[in-house]
Amino acid sequence: MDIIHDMVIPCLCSFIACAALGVQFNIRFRHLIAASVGSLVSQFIFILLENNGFRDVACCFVSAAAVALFSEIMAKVNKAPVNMYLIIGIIPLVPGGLAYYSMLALVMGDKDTFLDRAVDAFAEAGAIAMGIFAVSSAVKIYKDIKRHYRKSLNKAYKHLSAGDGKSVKKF
Amino acid sequence: MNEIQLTGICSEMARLMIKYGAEIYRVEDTISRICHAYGHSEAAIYATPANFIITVKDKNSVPYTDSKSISGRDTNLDRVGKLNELSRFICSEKPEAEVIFHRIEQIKERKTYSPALIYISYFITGAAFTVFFGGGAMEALFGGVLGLVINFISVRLKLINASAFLNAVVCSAAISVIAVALSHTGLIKSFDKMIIGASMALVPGVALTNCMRDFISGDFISGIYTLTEAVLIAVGMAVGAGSAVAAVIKF
Repeated sequence: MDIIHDMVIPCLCSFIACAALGVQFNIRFRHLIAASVGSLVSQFIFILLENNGFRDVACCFVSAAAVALFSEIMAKVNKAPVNMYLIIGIIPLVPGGLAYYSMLALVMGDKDTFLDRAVDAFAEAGAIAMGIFAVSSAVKIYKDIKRHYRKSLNKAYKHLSAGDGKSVKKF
Repeated sequence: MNEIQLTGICSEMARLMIKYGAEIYRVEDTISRICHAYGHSEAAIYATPANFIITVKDKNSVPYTDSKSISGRDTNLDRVGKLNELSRFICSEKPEAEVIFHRIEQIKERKTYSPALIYISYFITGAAFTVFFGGGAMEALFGGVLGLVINFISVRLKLINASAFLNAVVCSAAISVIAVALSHTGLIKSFDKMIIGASMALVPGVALTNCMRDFISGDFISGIYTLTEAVLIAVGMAVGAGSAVAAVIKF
């Protein structure tokens, strides 16, 4: 594996390109850097897995999940919407090349190539969506469980405080 | 704060959030939290990417309702973040209505990046993605120029309120024609990398992410609406680039 050609250039390019994309969405500087680091993370994981013999669909799934996790953490740290990081982070994973070549094959009348490429492109897009889906659902379930327990704890405390007539500090 | 002011604030905040590209789930969550903070825990909220309706009842069960229709997207994630902060502020401090209206006006007038910087960002996006997809130095330069063309056309199309689909078709057709023409002059070897790289700026990232997050939170109507938007933009890009390349190669 050629480190500079396979790893450094794509990572650097996706970092720069995503920072520029963030400017188009009007993201401010601090969030912009965080979001671009997200795209760097996704690209790094994608290349690492690809060079270890995983299929593209699996790579897309794992790196999209990694970006989603990264975005949830950054959103928690910076108290900003998750979208701000997620939108920028997944852009380098989008199968632009595959989509373009399948479209080109279609207009040239080469049906076999078209089907081959289009199936791959759809599978990768679906893998990205599923990666986001998996992590975001896990986070949502975690939040719902936390809220549920907080509510039942508060109820229990209210019950206790009603018993001895003293007010107990709420959670 | 009375009910009329509350519904006014809620509908205005919801309109802005949807317009600036927040997901619908977040809008409904934010508005219900605000209503809860002012003691209206049974507010009925209905939000889709195209309209917003809220109804709250006062002590005598008299309903107050307000609705807004939302047209035109203007993605601005910075303002979405600020509106999010404002909703946190409202829920913790419960300020008066005038304070909130003032803060909303401030958010509406927040500075955006200058047009020159947007042009530069399109150039960098086009150039960097061209290299990312395997282009050389010369191709990167012209990929950046194609990025500039995309922004030039989108700004003009926004003036006539063109739909996102039309925008995608026209932009990708224009860059494809220019890219093929450039390759005929002999300056560059192949036009594929440039078209792919430059059109990454058109990818419907906001719509795709929002639709996934709406599906997760169980808001299927909004999810389908945004998914349709994303698919239409992708199809528009394919139609534009495909027809232009096919036409140029045929002749």
